[in-house]
Amino acid sequence: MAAAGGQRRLRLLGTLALVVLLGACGAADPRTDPNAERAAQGASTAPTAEAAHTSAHVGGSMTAAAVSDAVSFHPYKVTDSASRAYLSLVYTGGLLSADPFDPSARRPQMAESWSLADDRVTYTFHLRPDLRWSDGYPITSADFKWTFEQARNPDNGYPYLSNLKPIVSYEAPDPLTLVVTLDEPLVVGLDNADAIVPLPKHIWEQYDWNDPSRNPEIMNPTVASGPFKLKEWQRDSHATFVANDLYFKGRPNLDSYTIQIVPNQQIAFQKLRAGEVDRASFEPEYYEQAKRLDNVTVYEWWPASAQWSFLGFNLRRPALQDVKVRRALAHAIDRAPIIERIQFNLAQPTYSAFPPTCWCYNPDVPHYDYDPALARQLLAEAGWTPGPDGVLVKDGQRLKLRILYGPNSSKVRERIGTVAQEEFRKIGAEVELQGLEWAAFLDAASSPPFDWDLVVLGWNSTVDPHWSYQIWSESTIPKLNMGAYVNKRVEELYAQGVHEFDLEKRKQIYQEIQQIISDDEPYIFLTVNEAYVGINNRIGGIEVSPLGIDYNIEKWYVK
Amino acid sequence: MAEVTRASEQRVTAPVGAAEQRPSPGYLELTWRRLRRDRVSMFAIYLFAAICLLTLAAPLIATYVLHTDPNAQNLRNNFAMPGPGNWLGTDELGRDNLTRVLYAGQVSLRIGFVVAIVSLLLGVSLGLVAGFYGGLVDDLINAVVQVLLNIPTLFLLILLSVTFRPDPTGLAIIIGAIGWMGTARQVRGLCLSVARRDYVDAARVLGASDVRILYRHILPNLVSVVSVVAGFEIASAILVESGLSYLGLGVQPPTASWGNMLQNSLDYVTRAPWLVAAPGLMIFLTVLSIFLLADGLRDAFDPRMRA
Amino acid sequence: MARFIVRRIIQSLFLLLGISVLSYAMMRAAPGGPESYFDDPKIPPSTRELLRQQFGLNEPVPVQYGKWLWNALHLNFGYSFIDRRPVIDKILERLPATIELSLASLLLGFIGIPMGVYAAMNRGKLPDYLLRVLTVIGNAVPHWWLGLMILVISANTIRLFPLGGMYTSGNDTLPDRLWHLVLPAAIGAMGGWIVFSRYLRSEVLEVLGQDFVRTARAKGVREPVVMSRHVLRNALIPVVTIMGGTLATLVSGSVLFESTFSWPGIGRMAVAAAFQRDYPVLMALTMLTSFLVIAGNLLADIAYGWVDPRVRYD
Repeated sequence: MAAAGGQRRLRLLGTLALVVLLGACGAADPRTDPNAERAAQGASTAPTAEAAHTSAHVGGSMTAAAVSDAVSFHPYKVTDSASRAYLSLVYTGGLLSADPFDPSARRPQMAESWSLADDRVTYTFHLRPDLRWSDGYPITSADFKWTFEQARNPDNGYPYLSNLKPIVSYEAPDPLTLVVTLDEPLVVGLDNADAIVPLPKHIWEQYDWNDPSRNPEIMNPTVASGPFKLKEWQRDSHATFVANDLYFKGRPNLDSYTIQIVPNQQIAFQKLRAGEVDRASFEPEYYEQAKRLDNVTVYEWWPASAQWSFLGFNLRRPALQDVKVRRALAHAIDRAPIIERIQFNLAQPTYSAFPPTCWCYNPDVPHYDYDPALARQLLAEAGWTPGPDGVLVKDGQRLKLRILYGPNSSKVRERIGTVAQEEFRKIGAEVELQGLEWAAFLDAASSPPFDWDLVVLGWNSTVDPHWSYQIWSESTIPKLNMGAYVNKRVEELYAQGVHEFDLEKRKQIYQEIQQIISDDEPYIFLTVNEAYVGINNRIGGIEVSPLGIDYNIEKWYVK
Repeated sequence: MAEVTRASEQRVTAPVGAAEQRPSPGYLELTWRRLRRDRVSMFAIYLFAAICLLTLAAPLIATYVLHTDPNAQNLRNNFAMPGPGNWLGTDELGRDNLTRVLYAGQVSLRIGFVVAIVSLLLGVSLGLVAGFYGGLVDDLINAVVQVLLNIPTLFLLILLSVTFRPDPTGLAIIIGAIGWMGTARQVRGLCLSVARRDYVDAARVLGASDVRILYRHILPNLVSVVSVVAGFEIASAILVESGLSYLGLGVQPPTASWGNMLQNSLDYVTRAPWLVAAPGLMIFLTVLSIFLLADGLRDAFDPRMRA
Repeated sequence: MARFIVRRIIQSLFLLLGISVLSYAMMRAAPGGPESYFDDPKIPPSTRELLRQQFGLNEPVPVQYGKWLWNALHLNFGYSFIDRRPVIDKILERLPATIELSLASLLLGFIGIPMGVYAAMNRGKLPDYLLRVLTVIGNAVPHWWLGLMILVISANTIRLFPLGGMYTSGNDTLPDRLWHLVLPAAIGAMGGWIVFSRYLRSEVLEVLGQDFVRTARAKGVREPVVMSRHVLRNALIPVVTIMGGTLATLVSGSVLFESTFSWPGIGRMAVAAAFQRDYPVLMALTMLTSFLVIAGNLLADIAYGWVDPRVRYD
């Protein structure tokens, strides 16, 4: 069975493949910045199949700094990254996991083997017989099935209910077997089938699924399946987790793992530097300082689920409907100083709808490089001529642009917006820049009257290219497809891509998609960001991978 | 924040600093003379005037003296240290810090003045009405005063700021609209004590109208109250704005104010401390000069009250 | 006296009612209203409708207010929009932290009293001058900024105190808590310290100028007795009233100090709730903090009325 599958981590615990950057954080605390998202995202585990770990390093505790506190421990209610990070410590997600070094490939996790029937819609999973909840009960297919039944119940308000739509039937013929049937054969079918993070049926079934006041497990899970158990949670202060002896991959080396809440990344960095915490994410401007610290190592990687930032056009505006205008504006942006000075070289430029880390990346898409003269020329060709005060005019209309960014606490976005404002001004546009806090920003950008011309935003992409169809689909206007981009050919290609099991042919499809999108230029693609985190040298066992560092958290130890 | 409570929330039982004097031509002149002799106050006046002038003239200074543009970015020259060409260094986008501080001063000072105007307008008018007419009107106004006084200022501001998401002028109006209570109480107290005086009764008997009484007897005393309170209001407003900006609720970028420049530069305090020092120093100097001036004015209007 | 107390209590109740109407009105006036929370694009419309119904946002406004008020009287402030937990639970989790910090700041602020007295006794000399300069500077500097600077400086140089937080996880002992309390309380105390020292200074000076003090001195009473028996006792009377006002400052200021020092109290929750438009929490906090302020002022009034029989407000 071909291995081309989706990025399971985000699908299981995140949006239907795409998280509007900081929207996830926004639900918890919009004042976090992309870097907090990275750190929190990093904390989610995608454990490998290797079980052995040396016993020489057992013991010790580790503290991490985080900017937002979690909302709850309910896997089927939370949407923010802080909660997902906490959840990944106490609950193991899923039957299979992505191989950290080959994120498209799948490895056994809670299932020790799986198979796909010839009808290409029926997946059979065989659970490991040694799975245990932390209270000793075995984890069986009954837990999976029961959790599925609860999650798919529309009254239970699972925010990502649509993840479960493709599943036609979900059966547990015996305690160690699960049979999941989808509605049609899909390349990403394996991930569709492995959509459930199991909850302990024997504990949860006596409680209300929705109400935290009638279900203590939601705020205080007592039975865990992940590497750690929750010991103590003082809101807005800290959460302490202790090792789960019955974790199926073996008890973690660390005795305890504490997440400490700090008000902002600066203090997080100061604490890291002072040795008060062992792990912290921080703003790019501290990166060089961090690298020079004696007691800290900065781990960096290019995530497979890349974070990329862009300026999106509102295609409802007449001025922007001319592709020459869009390309002109694209030529006005110089990515190099943005990367160097705003992101401190922790990013690389991107010109395509898919990041360079994707196997489907098309390096031959048109690059609209920094060329203000060409920009002015294109605008002139499009009929825009300088008016008396230098601002471009066409048919009596001035070239007025309104750039929105959010949340207003994201310094990186603010700066990118400010740079764009200045550059557009230099080629003759009149530009207004406005920052809004997250909820207000979403409101302004994705609901009428759509009074904006450009937005500064970012997406987290997924390993499998399929899920990004939502950004370009007519059906997701205006919530995800904020600029109202419509291209039927692109949608057609996406539909083909998810059914195409031949990898080479599939790649062609996505390359064509990129070509079309870059020609149309509904976004000015800016940069793809590197992920990094600072960890105190006393912690060992950390290895970076395209999936981050948390995939082997149970192997970390105190030196 | 003691700064805020001083002006509006302090529980005083009698009007302070308002000596009840018959209006006399030399009153204001006497006050000025007393003020002139107080060297600290004079220093404060000069300092404050200098700050106001500099910020008012920001566009002129930027164009003719510094030859800079507050929005001109030069990414490759960001975080430059203070030196010729950029006397206060450059910020994270390479913009000249000195120019930005001056322009931001316009925003911050404008907020200060608008707050003072709004709160004085509300405070004086409501205080006069309450003190002059008494009775039910007085009770009503007093009820409103009590309600507003008893919600902690910052909470109220947060609530209002999130509700209305105002621009700098709107923000100033909001801050002023919840800061008038202290003024109102003092003016009311002043009214109450003056209105009971014999000479006012005599004036009434002689046929003087309410307005005339207001004008000749109450107004001159108002000047002393109002000018002192105005001073404190402006200073507190600047401090409140900086606090709100620290939380992310004050003036929103990209508009720069001292408060949000300060907050913005906190991230770089170790890399580029001059970015923090400049707006911080401006806030400090402005607030300091205003406080000293207001203190001095209070002493000058009525030396008997000097502690 | 009893009538006075009863009247004040009734006044306070009406006050609370007025505040509740005001904050409820502001909440409804917010653009987007309480429903804006549900505009998260990831939540499907059907779930949104469900959530709206569950939060009772479909009924007319006065009805909603009435219901809310009735519940509030039973200390039921509804459920947070963010995590559907009872607001009162969330508040109770964080309230002790804020109270701890506020009390510590208040106590430390009392240092202003002896300082003010000392300055008054040495009027015109160095200590007095120093105090006046310090208070003026203290008024002009934003205290939260000072706290932040201290944090940053101590992070980069010597660390005497931890960089925030209430206690070290796993080491929840009294000495540890006190050690974490020092910096935030010291900064929080600045407001109180400034107010107390200035007020005491002017009060003591005023009392010192009065006749009965001169008489006592002329009679040959020794200075320490003059100070303690005559001067201080009279000067300290109004302190009670200032304390009421300081309480309001502390509650207000907690918002800023808690953010700076990673203190898990209601101030931080207020800021987070504001950003996330968590209106039930914001309403509850407004009512709660107003209640604290009103209660503080009430107690101060009663104490003042009891201590100084010359004064009775009407």
